[in-house]
This record gives sequence, structure tokens and C-alpha cells, in this order.
Amino acid sequence: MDDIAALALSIERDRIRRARMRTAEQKLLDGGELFDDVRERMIWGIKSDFPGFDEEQILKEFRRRLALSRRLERPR
Amino acid sequence: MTANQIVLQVIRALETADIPYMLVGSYSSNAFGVPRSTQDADFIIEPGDRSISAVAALIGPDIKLDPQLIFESVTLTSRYIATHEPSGFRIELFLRPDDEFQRSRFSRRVQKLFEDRLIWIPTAEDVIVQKLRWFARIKRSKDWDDIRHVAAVQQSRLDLPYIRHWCDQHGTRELFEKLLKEAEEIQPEQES
Repeated sequence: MDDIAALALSIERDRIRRARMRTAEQKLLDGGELFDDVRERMIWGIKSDFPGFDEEQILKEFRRRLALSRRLERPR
Repeated sequence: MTANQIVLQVIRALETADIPYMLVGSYSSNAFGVPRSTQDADFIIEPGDRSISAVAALIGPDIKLDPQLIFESVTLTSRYIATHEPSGFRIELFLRPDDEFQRSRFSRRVQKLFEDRLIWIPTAEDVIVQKLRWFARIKRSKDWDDIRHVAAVQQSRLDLPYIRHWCDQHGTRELFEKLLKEAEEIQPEQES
């Protein structure tokens, strides 16, 4: 096993170990909380890309990027 | 409004409209595996003869429920889509398919605390059986990762004969045995 593969395996094992330390109830909340976090970062990114955008334009661009991401995930 | 508040709002609406449900998809695999971000919350619902428009009226003005039922030919599922316009978070309400496994999965659903409310989700075993079925059909790597993590995190707590029974029915037994091997490989060292 090369160094990169060994590192990837070690990270994955650590994720399993950490997941076991948390309850199902705690982890049920994570998907939504991560979405809120990602959304906030995407908004910051759009503000940085387009400093002249108003709130409505920012939300429009955010929805466009989200729709693109959903299209890429859709079953084909 | 946060994504989880949107999920709770939909659950309250379903319960008020007396529509049995369970929260599936990545929310349920997160509960039993390794959490990841999600852009939507998927529900299986059994509306029976109740109208979905009752839910549309109950979920509030910010969450728009399209009353048009959408049939997805790749996955052979029918669903309603609701979107929370300000955040872009989406809710998909799938009608429970009428096959033996789906009836079993729904009848075995369990309650877990979500914020301050008990909600229904499938068992860990049923998460694996269903996502294996999807993976066999549409080969999305994130489905494989989700259930590999569920198998690794749950390990000896899983009812393997139950999973193997349904995998034999669905033609996914070989995939399941491969999944178990991969889950074994990622066990933390002191526990393997």
C-alpha cells in the first residue's frame, strides 16, 4: 500500500471511529446542518465573485448553482 | 429557517394530515453511518385516500409543494417535490411503492428523536437493502459509500440473515457480500 492509500484508509477508519461515538439522534441532524453551512459558504463565494450583486441576484445565482449540482447528481 | 426546521415543519404537516411517513435517503443513512451534507430530505409517505393538498396548506407559505405527481422512469418512483424558496432546500415525498420489501420496510420503521420530536426512520438493515437496490440500478458512488459506512459503523449489530434474505430476492447478494468485505477493511484497527 502506498503512502496516499495508507493515509486515505487511516482517515476513513477515523471517520468510522468518530461516527460510533455519536448517537443516531445526533447524526440525524448533521445532514441539514451541513447543508446550512455549505449554503452559507456558497453565498460568500458568490459575493466574492460578483461584488456588485444585490441580495436578489445573489440568491438567483445560488439557486442556479444548486440546480446544476442537483442535475449532476440525478440518476441517468 | 434552517434545513432541519424545514424538515420538522414537513413532519408536523404530515402528522397533522394523518399521513404515515418515514424519513429516508441520506438523513437515515447519516443516522446509522457517517454523516454527510445533503441538499434535500426524502420521505416515503402512505397518503392512502388523503389528499396531498392538505399537506401543501399546512407546511406554510415559504415551502412550496408542487401538487403535480412526478414519475421517475429510471428509479420507477412517484414523488411530490416541495422547495423552501429562501434556502433552496428541497423535500421529496415519495409514494410508498407497492412491493413486498417496501411494505416490510415501512412496517419495521423505528422512532428516533429529531430536535425535540420523535420521528420515523427505517432500520439500519432496511437502509442497506434499499440503497443496495438503488446502487445496483443507477450506480451512484455516494449510495455505495453511505451503506459501506452504515455497515462499518453498525458492524455486529446488523441482522445479517434479514439483509441477505432481501438481497437474495433483489439479486444484490453478491454486492452485499462485497460491501461487507469493504466495511471490514475500514474497521478502526483496535476493534477489527
